[in-house]
Amino acid sequence: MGTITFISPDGESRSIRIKHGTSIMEAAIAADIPGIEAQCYGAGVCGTCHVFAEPPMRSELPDPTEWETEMLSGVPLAGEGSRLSCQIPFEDRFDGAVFRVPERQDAIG
Amino acid sequence: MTLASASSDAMSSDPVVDFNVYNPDQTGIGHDESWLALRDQSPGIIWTTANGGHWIATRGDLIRSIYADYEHFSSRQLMVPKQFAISQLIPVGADPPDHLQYRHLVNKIFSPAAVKKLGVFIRAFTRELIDRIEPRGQCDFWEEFAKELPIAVFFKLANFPIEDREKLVTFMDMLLHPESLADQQAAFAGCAEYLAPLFEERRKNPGEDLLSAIAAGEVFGRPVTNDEAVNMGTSFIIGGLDTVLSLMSFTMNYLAGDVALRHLLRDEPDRIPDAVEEFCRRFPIGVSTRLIRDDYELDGVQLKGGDLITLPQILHAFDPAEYPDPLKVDIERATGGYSTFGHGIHRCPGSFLGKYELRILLEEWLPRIPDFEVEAGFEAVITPGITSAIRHLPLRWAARPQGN
Repeated sequence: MGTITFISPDGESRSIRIKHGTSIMEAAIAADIPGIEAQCYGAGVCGTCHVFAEPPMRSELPDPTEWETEMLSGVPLAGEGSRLSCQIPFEDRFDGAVFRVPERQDAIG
Repeated sequence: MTLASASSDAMSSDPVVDFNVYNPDQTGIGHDESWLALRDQSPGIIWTTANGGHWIATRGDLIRSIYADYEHFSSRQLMVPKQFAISQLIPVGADPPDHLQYRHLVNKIFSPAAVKKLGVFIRAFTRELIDRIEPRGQCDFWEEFAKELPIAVFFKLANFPIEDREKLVTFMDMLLHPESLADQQAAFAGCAEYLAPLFEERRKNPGEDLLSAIAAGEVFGRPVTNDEAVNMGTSFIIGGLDTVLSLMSFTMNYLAGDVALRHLLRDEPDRIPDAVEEFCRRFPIGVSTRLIRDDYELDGVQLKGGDLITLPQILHAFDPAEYPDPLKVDIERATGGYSTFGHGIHRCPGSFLGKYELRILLEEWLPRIPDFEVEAGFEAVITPGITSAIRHLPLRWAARPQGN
């Protein structure tokens, strides 16, 4: 178990508890974090659970797979720290990680 | 389970068993116990001679990684033995890059936002069903609840005429639990004949439903063909009808025997989502299959291209490395990430919907009927298969006196 924090586009932050093995996306949806749509709910095929992983934890997260990198190339507003939150299962060592929610999500395809 | 003679596909040093993944309990030790015995015999990758011969992954980390690994494991074959076709189904049996084209058509229909909207209907219908059975003090949960709610929800989502219920349930049974190849082929043909005019109609008068999303969809820069639409419709009949019923039947069978958890969830309904997660972990219902693309070594085992490997979700749930005391239902568990809905690009599109339905069932049922038990002397039987279920579940509770 650990805690992660989401920062909304208007700067509001909210911290939630998350289990080891649960994806960042699933925890966000369970907590009704605004701005994370996750239309495909974890298959990594829609691009609407896009978040920005913030330092310092950004560099600790496992690198995106080739698939995630490819999907991120089609995501609006992608930039430094962009990740698909469904592709990151939480590990206890990510306790305290901070994710910024983008201003909008658009489904790929 | 007995040790069988080595097959041509397994190396002589590899463990070989005769284990039927669709009917694991051959010796009467119990369903869960049979899976545990298989895992204990060889935690890794094992060859079985049953169902035409195929590999089985028996450790959680392997099951998860194979689900997600579309590069080495194709979804073109979704069932054993090889002659049972459930193959070339889209999107579930399609590989990248084609898969993405089809999967995009349905993402919005099953999205958490869309499912939450549907929640109004789900809750109202759940209440109606409970109104119907509560005064009686008894029901067959499978017949009178599990078969009613998820099917009504799926029919609403797809906008199928509800009077076609029995027909579609029969097709689904013949596809998933075929007694012969002819049976399965007849069900495919039946689905095609049934679906084709429906798609025709939705193309002319599209709505917000699943069938319309498929009928009006575009793939590879052109409209979806009739064959593709019928194929996708069949996929969702297979995936959408059986699974939530099973999850509900396992959950209620368990809860009937755990008064402490029933009362906790009644008194603290905000714990229900944690309970739903744990029920999804503890009672996974499916055994998926993947086709090994090319010769590939994994976990010290040389897999041969063209062979099949099955991924029993239950053996991830029962892996003590991730879930200590795995048979115990414990809503305080610190670990998620189970394989009940698969992983990777083929992760079940309906997983949020399934969990949401179970959540609403518990939120509505437990305040009304907090104390119920399985009929005295009845022992729930797990019907095994590509999806397993408890297909007869007589529940009893104290009926309210008239006028209350």
